[in-house]
Amino acid sequence: MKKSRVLLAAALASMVFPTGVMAAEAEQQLSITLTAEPEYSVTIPASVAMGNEGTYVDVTASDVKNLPEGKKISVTISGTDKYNDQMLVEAETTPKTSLRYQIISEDGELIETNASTGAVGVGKEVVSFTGNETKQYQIKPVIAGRYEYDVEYTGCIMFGIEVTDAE
Amino acid sequence: MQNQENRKKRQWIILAAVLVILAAAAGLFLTFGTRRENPDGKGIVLEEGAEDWDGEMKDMSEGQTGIKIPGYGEITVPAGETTWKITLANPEENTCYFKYTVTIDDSENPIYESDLIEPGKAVREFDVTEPLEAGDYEIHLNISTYAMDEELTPLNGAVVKAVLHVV
Repeated sequence: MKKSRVLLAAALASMVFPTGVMAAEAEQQLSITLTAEPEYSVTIPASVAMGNEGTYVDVTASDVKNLPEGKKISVTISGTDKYNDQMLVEAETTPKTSLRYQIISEDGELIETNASTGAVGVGKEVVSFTGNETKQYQIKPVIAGRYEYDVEYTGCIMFGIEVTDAE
Repeated sequence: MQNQENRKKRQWIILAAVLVILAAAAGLFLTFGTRRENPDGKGIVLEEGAEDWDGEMKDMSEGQTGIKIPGYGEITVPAGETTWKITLANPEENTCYFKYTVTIDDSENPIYESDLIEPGKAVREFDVTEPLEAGDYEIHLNISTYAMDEELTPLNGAVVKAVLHVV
């Protein structure tokens, strides 16, 4: 009984002073500060590592949010740490020796740099994603020229990652 | 006879001095000669403004060594202002440092360069060297990654491209 009296009083009060309440609401200021947050993530290999036969490498897209219909996350070769973005791995031998390597993309395209054929790797798509998934590409060395066994050949790739139109 | 003894003594002293100098030179070479500077020649400089960051990113790598790269679809920043609120993160699953270099369109001049960002940290806002006029641009977030060792060994990196709306 007591409770219902309190509720009735509150209801009457809100009817008596409606303009005051509205005025208070009108004065309320909204302040929103937005920060651009990541909308997806792509896990790339940490380094160029392979044996004689080459290897399959996982690339994973995760946390994909708000990817519009007809769009994909494209992972391309953006460059390497070698002169002219050559796809090479080098070893600290004396004199220095290097090996070329090739990438076979998810679609089966052979990606390599080759001065004699003019082939370049920059801009070539390795894998693409339309959601949370794992794709693979193949990487293998071109065993030719001067090289040494039992030494580590290393190199780095710079991957390009962007949202583009899906074909 | 006395002269001959003196000469022998002098020869021993010179030989000992040469050995001491050679040992000191070898010590100095081992200490400083094999140490690599970080990319800026400043030693390890961690980003002071980096905050703790938990972007709730799931691990889908299934144990493979990889580097998780955050990606962006579209980013909006205010025209004429030099402080941009964009999260430049290094996901906590990573075991390497991130260094962000931000460029616009085809320009090679960075408008912002971070110091090294540890895993699980992020720069939430930063000052660019010059404000942009209203319009649409392409923003390039160049992410160089380095192993968390003394040599800061470079690892594979990425260039994340996104549409930048300046309004």
